[in-house]
Parts: sequence; structure tokens; C-alpha cells
Amino acid sequence: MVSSSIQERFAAQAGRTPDATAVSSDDARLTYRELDERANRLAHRLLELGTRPEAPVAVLMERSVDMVVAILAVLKTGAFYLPLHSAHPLERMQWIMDDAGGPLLLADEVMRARGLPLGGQVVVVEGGRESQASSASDPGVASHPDQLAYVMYTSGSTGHPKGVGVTQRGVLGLVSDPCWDGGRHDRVLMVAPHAFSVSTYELWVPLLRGGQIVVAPPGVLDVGTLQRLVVDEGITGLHLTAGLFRVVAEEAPKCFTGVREVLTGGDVIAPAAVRRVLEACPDTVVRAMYGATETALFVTNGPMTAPYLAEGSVPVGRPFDDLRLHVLDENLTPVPQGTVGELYVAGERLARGYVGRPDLTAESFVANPFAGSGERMYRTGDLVRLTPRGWVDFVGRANDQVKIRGFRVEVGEIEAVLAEHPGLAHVAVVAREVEPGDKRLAAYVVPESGDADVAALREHATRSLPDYMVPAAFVVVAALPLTPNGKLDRGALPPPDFESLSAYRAPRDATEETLCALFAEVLGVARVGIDDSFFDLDGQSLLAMRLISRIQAVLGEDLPISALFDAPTVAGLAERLGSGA
Amino acid sequence: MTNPFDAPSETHSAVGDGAYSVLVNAEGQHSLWPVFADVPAGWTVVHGPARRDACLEYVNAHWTDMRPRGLAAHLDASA
Repeated sequence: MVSSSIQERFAAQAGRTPDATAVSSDDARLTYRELDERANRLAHRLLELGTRPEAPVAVLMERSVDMVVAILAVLKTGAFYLPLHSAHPLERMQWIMDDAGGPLLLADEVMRARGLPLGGQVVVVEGGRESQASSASDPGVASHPDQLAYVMYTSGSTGHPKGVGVTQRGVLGLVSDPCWDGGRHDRVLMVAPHAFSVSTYELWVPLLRGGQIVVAPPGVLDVGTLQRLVVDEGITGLHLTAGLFRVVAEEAPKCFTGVREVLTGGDVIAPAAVRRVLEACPDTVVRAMYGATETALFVTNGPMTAPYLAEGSVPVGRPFDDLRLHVLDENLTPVPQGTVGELYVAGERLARGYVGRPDLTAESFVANPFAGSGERMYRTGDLVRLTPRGWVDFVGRANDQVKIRGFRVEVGEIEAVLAEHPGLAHVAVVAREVEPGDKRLAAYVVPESGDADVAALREHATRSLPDYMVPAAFVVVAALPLTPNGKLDRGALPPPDFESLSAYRAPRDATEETLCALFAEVLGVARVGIDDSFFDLDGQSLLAMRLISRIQAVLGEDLPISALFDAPTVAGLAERLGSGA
Repeated sequence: MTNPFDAPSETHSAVGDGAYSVLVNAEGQHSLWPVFADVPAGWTVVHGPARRDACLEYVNAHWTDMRPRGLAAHLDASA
């Protein structure tokens, strides 16, 4: 009989390949037996602390072998994991903890030192010391396939994130797909944050199929580290968001040599990036992926091989075997092939819904007129058309949701958070495309009277929102322009100034001059002063990777990416490089 | 393109009166539904036609256990 839960499938795999490596990082390595026993011990401890089936257990940890132990242990108790993103502000984590009813929290020492949100009891997972006294035997808690495996919070339009409840059945459906057959995902690099749904692939495809997870070091990945891991660890498969894929394709396309399959998606995939990678690595398959947290991750996949002819867009492929797609018009009628419609997804992998939000669930997971009795379908909000060979071509969003660095963002949530700030009459947030594939958020604010304190507002946003949701520019306007029928007239908004946040100070020597030019080039702005912070100018981690790579190429200086986080200005970096200024 | 499940624009206040209903399936799952479309097999109308916001209020008031019925029965039996 096919095992009905993730933890049973894992235990069966551990029984078959006890001595194979299950998970490794730079400083730790566990075989299937060791991972199983450590997770069993922690699960016993969690059960003693009162963990029950269908209860949440929050996980706030850096990417590590311990994190994999923690997540597996949660499932072994019949509970579900609630990943918290270590990069999120404490306020947002606290809101999620409160929304989940103050669950037990698994953390590591690094996160504990940074400050934990308040909730239930805290267990620090640290190399097995957390549960030495517990039994290593399997607690033997089975789960029903409709039980939750995890709840992940995504941006919600009402000003708060919403928790998507993904089932055991959903994860097992994804993992069972034949597209993972053939050894291409034997050694998978874990690079995504565990609070991002791609972690479903990175965790469970290798672990439930006898493969190995190779955990990338915590923090932001740089191209050099990626290259080293691919070679040293013999990575066969990995997923990079479309933005990261583009940066690697431009900076070091040969990086994927030896990798059998690179998955990319989560945002519009640049055709030129696919071509560059396939030219540099003709034996590698690049697979375009499209999906959503609500569908237990991937919905379609489209393999691409050399020689690749770049066209205007990269279609995201065909549906997975266990899903059915419907492209419908506004009357819920299927549109002809080639016509744009909204994509609906049906199948057993659909999430249960939004935890504690029956209303949002009932409007997004709706009755399915094209299936058997009582089935539901998820409306993605994505506009697509089908190509002649049946591949899905992504056209755009049907609503106010935008993708920023691969994350789904509801501008309404940002507007609601900004509106909490005193002294503002109106707020509008729009996404602006600085260059193809590079969208940035601009906030337009109308003060109640006088001027708005933009610095305080940015501070408020930074405290409440994850970094990718903090607008890159704040523009004070006297009124929001409206269309004749009373909607925001986006076209009439003044262009935002993504530059000039602090008083300009010119470079003082050749090194600073070069660094200013590299900052400006990578950020896509005209001028950068030596005191401008890379991150205030919306330099996110992808651009940081690119900047470090350029500094290496132009100045011949090897800087770790952490240097930029420690010293995010030209003046600061120049000092690190020993510049005389 | 307007989605039939989304709120009609505020400038169209006439739309929305009686444009939606609420459906329920055998697992107790609820779905908002536009009244212009036929009710799919396996679903029953439990509220409406009514305004969209009234339908969502109904859903919040009545769908208090979001576990599918089969699972809830299984878990309650083994608890």
C-alpha cells in the first residue's frame, strides 16, 4: 500500500537506504538513519510538550541541517509546520504567531539571539542536544492525507498576511510526479527560505525519493558560493527564482555545468537568460516552472534544452499529471486556444484554504463545473493563454497583485500598513517596471496637512513589512489623480525618484569613483553618492549578488556578500577595501 | 478582464444586489458563486441570491470548521 503521509513515506525510505546521506551542509551531515532518529527524538519531546495532530508548530530557524530535522519532527507528531521567515520584521512574525493562536516555537541559537516572537513554549534545536533523553524510536503517529502538512503566510490584500493551509496529500502529489524520475534531483541544493513554497520541492523531492538535500549556507547566496557548491557537492538539481536565475545567467552562466536540471520560475523568466545558460551548459535542462502556494507549489513545467531559440516570452509548460487547468472567460466559459483567459487549477493537490478565513477561501477555491461531484478549483488571478503545443503562456495578473523578486505582493496590504501612519490622508502603492523584469514599488502619499515625514514613514514600513514589500520610493503628492470613473489614474502619477535619499557626497578617490559607478550601474540609477545605502536604494539580495560579482571583475577584490550588509555604502565598502579616503 | 468572483467596481453600485449565492459540497466546503452560472454537480445553494458581502458574511458565520467533514470525523473518532 502507498503510504498515506509524508512521515510514513520518509520512514519507509529511511528503512530502505539507512546509510545514504539524507542532508548535508558545510558543517554537518546526516544519513537517513541519523535524520530519522534525531527527528524521532525531537518528535517525542514535542509530544511530551503537548503537540497534537492538526496543531501548528512554528519554525524560525536559519537554513541548516537542524531546520530539516525540526520540520520532519513536527510532521512526525501529526502536527503541521508553520515556517516563519527569518528576514521578516518581528512585528509581522508576531502577527502570524498571534493569528495561529500562539503555537510552540522551534528556533535556533542565532534566531533566539536576534529576538523571538512571543507565543507558546520555545524549543531551541541545536545539533540534537534539545532531545538527548528522548527515545529514538518512531513515535508512529500517522496522518490522514487531508491533514495539513504546513501553513505558509503570503501577502493578503486586507493589510495582513494570509495563511495557506497545504495538505499532506498536496505534498505527496507533487513529490510523486514522474517529472522527478531519472536521478535528476538526487542531490538538490536548498537555497529558498523555508517560508517560501519552493522549500516543498527542496525538502520533500529528495527526502521522499532517497536523494540528498545540500543545504546552502544561511543568508544571501553569492555566485561564488553557488559555483563551489555545485562542483564540490555534485548538485544535480536546484530551483532558482527567475530573478536569481537571470543574475547567475548574466554573471556566471557556466556555473550550472554538471547540474542536470535547473528549475526556475516564480516570476517572468527572461528568454535571454535561458539562452545564455543553455549555450554555456548544453547538457543541462532548464525547466520553466509555474505554481502557487495554494496548489502545493508547481502547476506546470516546461523543459528547455540546447539549442534554444529565445522568443518574446518563455512559456511555463504543461500541467503536472495530477492537475487539470481551465482557462476561462468572465462567464466561466473555456476560451479557445490562443485566447487570453484567467487560469483556474483543479486537482487533489489544492490547499484546504486560508486558515481562519472562510470568506477568502470561498471566493478563491470555488465550485468546479468541469469535474465530478463537489470538486473545487482554485482561481489563480493569472491571465494566460495556451500555445499551439498546449503550453501555458503567462500574460499578466488579473488583479492588483504584483510579483516583486518572485514574491506575490498585494499592494493593498502595503497601502493598509502605510495608512496606519499618522498624518496621511491617502496612500497608493504602485509597481513600476524600471527595466524589463525589474519591478520596484513606489508609494504615493497625500498628507493631511503640510508635509509628510517620509523618513518616519519608511521606518514604519520597514518595521512592519518584509523587505521586498517596503516601497523603494516615497513620493509626496497633493492629491491622487483619478480617472473619470473614480479609479486611481496610475498613468498620471509622477514618476518616482528611486535615487537621492541622502545629501549627495561625491567620491573622494579612484576606488570610490569606481564603486559609485558600479552601484549606479547595478541599481539602474543615474548617480550614487558615497553615503547612499545600497539597501535604501532598493538594492535587494539579487542586486547585491550582482554588485559583488562586478566588484570582483572590475577591482579584482573578493568581497563576501556579508560585507555589503555590514557596510552598505560606497564610503563603507571603500574603507573595507583599504581605500585611502 | 473582470472576474465573476471579484467585487464589482464601486462605481457600479447597482451590480452586486442578488448577483451571488453560496454553495456547499458534501465535505462542508463553501464556495461563492455567481448566479448567472449553473450550479455545478455535487454543490447545493445554501444562501442567496444576495449581495456579495452578505454572501461572505454568511460563509464566515456558517463555515466555522474548515476541516473537510471526512477528516473531521476521522480526527474526532481517533481523538
